[in-house]
Order: sequence, then structure tokens, then C-alpha cells
Amino acid sequence: MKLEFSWRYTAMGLAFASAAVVILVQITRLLLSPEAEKLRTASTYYARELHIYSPARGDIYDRWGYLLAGNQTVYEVGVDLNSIQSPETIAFAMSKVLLGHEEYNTPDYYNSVFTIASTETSTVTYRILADYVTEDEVAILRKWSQEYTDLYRNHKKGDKVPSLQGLVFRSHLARSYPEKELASNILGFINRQGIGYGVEQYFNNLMAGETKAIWMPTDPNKAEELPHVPEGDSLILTIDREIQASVEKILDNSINETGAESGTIVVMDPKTGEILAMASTPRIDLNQYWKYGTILQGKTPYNRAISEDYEPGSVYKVLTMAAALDSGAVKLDTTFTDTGVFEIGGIFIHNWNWGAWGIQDMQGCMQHSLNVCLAWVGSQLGAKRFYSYMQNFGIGHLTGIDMAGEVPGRLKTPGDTDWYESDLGTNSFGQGVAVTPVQMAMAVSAVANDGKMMVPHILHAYVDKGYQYNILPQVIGKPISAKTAHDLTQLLAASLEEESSNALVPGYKVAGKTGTAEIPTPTGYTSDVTNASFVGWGPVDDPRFLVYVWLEKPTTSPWGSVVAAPVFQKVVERLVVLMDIPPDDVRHQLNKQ
Amino acid sequence: MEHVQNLTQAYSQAPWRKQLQIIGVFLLVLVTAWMVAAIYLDVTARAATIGREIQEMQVRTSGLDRIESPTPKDGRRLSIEELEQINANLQTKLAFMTSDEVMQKRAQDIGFKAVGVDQILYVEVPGYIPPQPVTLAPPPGPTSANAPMLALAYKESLIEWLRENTSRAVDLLKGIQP
Repeated sequence: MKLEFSWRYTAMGLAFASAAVVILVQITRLLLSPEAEKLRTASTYYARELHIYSPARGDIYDRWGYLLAGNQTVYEVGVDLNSIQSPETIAFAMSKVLLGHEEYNTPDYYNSVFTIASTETSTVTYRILADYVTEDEVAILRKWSQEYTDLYRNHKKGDKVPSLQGLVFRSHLARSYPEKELASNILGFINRQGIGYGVEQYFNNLMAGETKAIWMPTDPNKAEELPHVPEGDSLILTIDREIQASVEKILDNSINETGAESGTIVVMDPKTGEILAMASTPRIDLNQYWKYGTILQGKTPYNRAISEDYEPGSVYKVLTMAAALDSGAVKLDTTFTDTGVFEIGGIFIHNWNWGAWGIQDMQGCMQHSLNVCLAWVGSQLGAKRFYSYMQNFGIGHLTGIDMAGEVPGRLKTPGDTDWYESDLGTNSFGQGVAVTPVQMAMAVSAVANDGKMMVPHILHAYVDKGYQYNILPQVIGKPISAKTAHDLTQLLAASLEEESSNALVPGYKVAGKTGTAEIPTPTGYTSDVTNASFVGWGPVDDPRFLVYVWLEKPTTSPWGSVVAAPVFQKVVERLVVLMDIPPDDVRHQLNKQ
Repeated sequence: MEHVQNLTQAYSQAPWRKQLQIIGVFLLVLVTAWMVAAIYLDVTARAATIGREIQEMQVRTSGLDRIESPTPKDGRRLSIEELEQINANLQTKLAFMTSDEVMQKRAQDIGFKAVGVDQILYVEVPGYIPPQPVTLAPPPGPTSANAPMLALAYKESLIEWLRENTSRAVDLLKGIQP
């Protein structure tokens, strides 16, 4: 019985074994075939996917913690050419949804998307259609995609139906400026080519983390940890949002009222060098920074306070007088007989009104802003001492302010090929020397701050890896003594009071000096247009602010005392409120208690 | 010889029992293998699912996200990076809503006016500390105070745990105070 059926088992065994051998042979053949090699190569292509990790750029805050520059998620929108079903639908949706973007709101955009989406798949399977697309716009695209899917759910496979399949998004963070134009001259920006301005450019290395591009495996069993991409450092600036807004508003109104071409106001704490506000025109909405070319046309500087030098005129006399008093070349009660003309180096210096002012003490010289007197003071000081003091005041050098785009100005000194003896006379009253507003603010801060000159700075602190590092104020030099600083402050405060200056603020004793400067041209100095300036600080016994005003080519009046001094007054009226500075008598009373 | 035969006979098993034993052993091996395979399959499936989820999170923050992929509104889980992005977006949105321009307008709309220099009454408030610039993070200091403390149990392997406890036991036996 057993023998009768045993061949069947043998036959079955042989059949299974043969099948197994056939399968093994086939597997081996497939594995070794050229097609297998192609598939293996293709599989490596799909085995990894490119991930780009961009760390969040550090935020920028004002001194009270208001966000001035933050980040917002935006999307790069592209197409996976392998998955596209309807290039027409994709082109239609993209051109409709991105109407708000100037660069995509063009008649050609539909065609360009359609052409890209219709491209035959080759080695390139991903193509970018748009970037900086907002979250809301992506949400609309997703909604439309879902609606198309629901609407044509019952259509036969292979039917040509509208579909957004194939659209892909890559999220990344983009800069966002909640205050729009406010402080735009300070904040600056970095364009897509990596060129920038302001704080954004100066601290770019600190704020920008390092972008990493990594090929991550697509096999879920080989999922890898995200690489550690540290965020950029956040910055806390010294500026006060409210002071900045007020100063910008005052500047804009002043430009309108005086018909000036442009203007700049710098507000600084003379004791620390902290910039509390820095307004300049024109300004741009940083959320649309790419339009800066149309707003800052030609050689218009991005921030006049640091990037444009000019001949300051009589505000410079503060430095000349400080040097002369400090060196002993003159004393407060030294008198000078103003005959209306002073010869130096072969040229004749005249006063602003071409008049002779007779016997004047140093206060009279400053109060009436006498060029003749100051040229004489300069000559008493001598070129060597005068230029040594000016260099100690930082004239002709970068202040070192922590913002991109600062220029050093120009101070010709003896030994330079274009320096003449007459320059000593003209330089003494602010002609023939080029300075930036921030340079002047820094130099004059020495007079307001017991002779100590502080480095102007915009960075209060930075936050790195969870810790806040506060920046300490730095003394850059002590060009004059504390006594000289006090004497000159009192002299300038008395000058303002005696001339009933437009700069005075009731209840507050301030010191300051006007400036009206002719503008040099290739054919000499023009007389019809001027640069009007004012520098002042207060309260004089405990200075909390120093304000520098510059109006370029005002048309209603050329004089600094008429157009720039009232700007100082308006700024100070807001400053004392915003900085909680009581009137002098109240403050003295409170201090006694 | 007869003893040997008797002994063999006494301890030999019936053929059906031998077959049963073989089948039993085979089934045991089969069931064990099946259990191992099932556990392996379960663990790898779960690992793959989690791996896929992690990859999807990574795709959403740094890779290419398809239009048909689920969104937070569909109840998907969010990665830390996504949460950070959402927080950054919300912070910026809040800053837009409280910008100086917006707040000035809101204040004006409800009747506030900017106070003038002569409209302020100053009074002394004992102990009043004027506002100081913002502090967003602690100053740098001793690092140990803020260092993350992760329990050893989350970091050490079984072998390390055994080695550590063995050496501690040996130290105790030697009379070394911990």
C-alpha cells in the first residue's frame, strides 16, 4: 500500500522543489539584470529628500520690549512635475491667488506658470513658481484643491478634470516689521542679494543663524533627528518707540512747514551715548523694502544721520569755543572788538549780517553767532591746538555707532594738500568741514556730559542662547575738562535765554546753539539755500537728552534760529513728557525732599 | 541482556507519543516564531508609523509639503518647530495689532489726547522705581543653575546601570562611604 502511493509524494516534492528552484533562478536573474541596476539607481534618488533648515532670524525690540522686527511664516510654492494633472488649473489658481504680489500680478505670469507646469518630466521634477506666499494665500490654494477634489470625485479615472494636484509648499520664515515705516532708517533691511542697511546689516552675523541643507532619508525606519540649528540672537535697541514716533512726526511736519528738502533729528542720552530716537527722511515701509529704489532715488542716503556729511555752520562754534576755553586761549570774560571783518590766510571773514558788532565777550560772540569773533578765537587757539581738539572731538573719524553705512566726514588738517591757513578761520565757524549729525551729537555730548564723550550706540542688549547681555556705555574720550563743559553749558543756556530763542521750553533750562550754513557748490558757496541746524541739551544741571536737528534747504527762511530752533523746542516738549522729566523747579523741590 | 531489553522496553515510548512530541516541539517552535514575528511586525510597524509622522512633521517645516497633506485644522500633531513658527507668527501678528500707529489711532478714537508739558502734576511717590529697559532673558551666570537636569534612568543603558550599581555595592562592601 505504502509503495503504491509513495511516488506521488516524491512527485509532489520534486514539483515544489522545481518551483522553488525556478523562483530562486528568477530572483537571481532579476537581481542581476540591467533593469535591476537602473531601479537600484532610481531608488537611491528617491531614498533621500532635500530639507533646508533655516533658523529663525533674531527679533529686534525697542528698549521697552516692543517688537520692531519679527518673523512670519511664508511659503515657497512649486510643482512636483510627476504629479501634475492639470497645468491650466494650477496656472489659473496661482495667477488669481497671487494678485496681491506685484511681481506675480503681471499678464505673463499665467503663461509662465502654465509653461512650467506643462514641462515634461526629466531629471528635474521640482520647479519653483512663487516665493514669499503668505499663509492665507496657501490656505486659499488648499481650499480650492479640496473643492476641486470634492467636485470631481465621481469622474472616471483618466478624465481631464480641474485639479491642483502637484502643487507643493516649502515653509520658511520671512522678516516682518510691525511698525512699518517707524524707525526704518535705523532698522534697515537685507535684500535677497544679501546687501543691507542699518541695524539689520550691522548685526547680520549675530541675528542670522546658519542655514543647513540636508538630504534626509525617505525610509520611515531610518527617520533621522532634525539637525540642531541655533536661532539668531535677538536685539534690544536703545530707541524708545514713542519718542521715535513723536520725533518722526515732528520732523515730517517741520519739513512740510519749512519747505525743506529733507531733515534729520537725533535724540541721544549724553550720559550714556544711547540713541533714543533717530529720524531721517525719506523713510520706507520695511515690509516692502524692495521699493526702496523708487523712494531713495539717486544718491539719497538711507539714513542721513550717519550716512550724509554736510558743512554744519554755526553749531560747530560750540566745539571751537569749547577748545578755546579748555586750552585757555580765551576766557569767558575775554572781549573781542568786532569790526565786521577778520583776515586770516589771505581771506576776509564776515558776519552772517555783514555787520560790525563792536565789543563782545564770549557769550556775546556765541549769542550773536559771530563768524568774525569765532575766526579770531580760532586764530588765538592756533592751528595745531584747534585741529588736535577737533580730532579729539572725533571730527573726521567714524563715531563707531553700531549701524551700517556710517561715513567719517572730512576734516582737513595742516599737512593735507588741500589745507590752507584760511581753513582755520572758516573751520572755526563750521565752514569747510564736513560732519554727520551723529558725529556732531557725539562731539557736543562732551559739553553736556562733564567733558566725557560717549560712544553713540543703538544696541542696548542682545539675547544669545537664553541669556541677555547688556551693553555698557563706553567713554570714547575726554576732549575737555568738566569745568569747561559746565562753563560753556551755562554760557549757551544764558545765550538762548537772552535772545529769547525759539528753542526755549518754559520751565526747563536748556543749552544750545543754532547753525545756518551756506552750501558749497563747485562754483563756491550759494547764498540762496542753506543747511539749518540746531544742537541743544537739557536740563542743563542734569542732562537727560541731547537733540540735534538738521533741515536741508528750507525755503520759508534760511536761518537755523527760525526753522531749526522751533523743531528743537517741539522735540523737547514731547521728550520731557515721554521721559517723565519734571520742570526744573519741581525737580529741585522733589530732590530736596 | 534480558535486563537491558526490559529496561529499554520500560523506558521506550509508543510511536504515537514520539510523533506527538515532535509535533508538539514543531508547534512550539512555530508559535514562538509566530509570536516573535508578530511582536517584531508590531514594533516595526509602530516605529515606521511614528517615523513617517516625524518625517511628515519635518517635511512641513523644512521639506516639500503636498497640497493634499493634512493641515493643523485636520487635527494633525504639530512638531516643536511648527509650534515655534506658529508662536513667531502670533507674536508678529500681536505686534501689528499693537503697533504705535494702531494704538495712537485707537487712543484718539476713544477720545484721548496727548498730554502737554503744562498739564502734568508731579508728585513724589516714596519707593517708586522708574521703569527700566526690558529684560527678555536672565543675565549670564553660573550655568549649573539653569542646566537641564535629565534623570539618569533616561540616559543610561542596562549595562551601565548594572556596572554602576555593582561598583557601588563593591564600594559599600569595602566600607567606602558614598
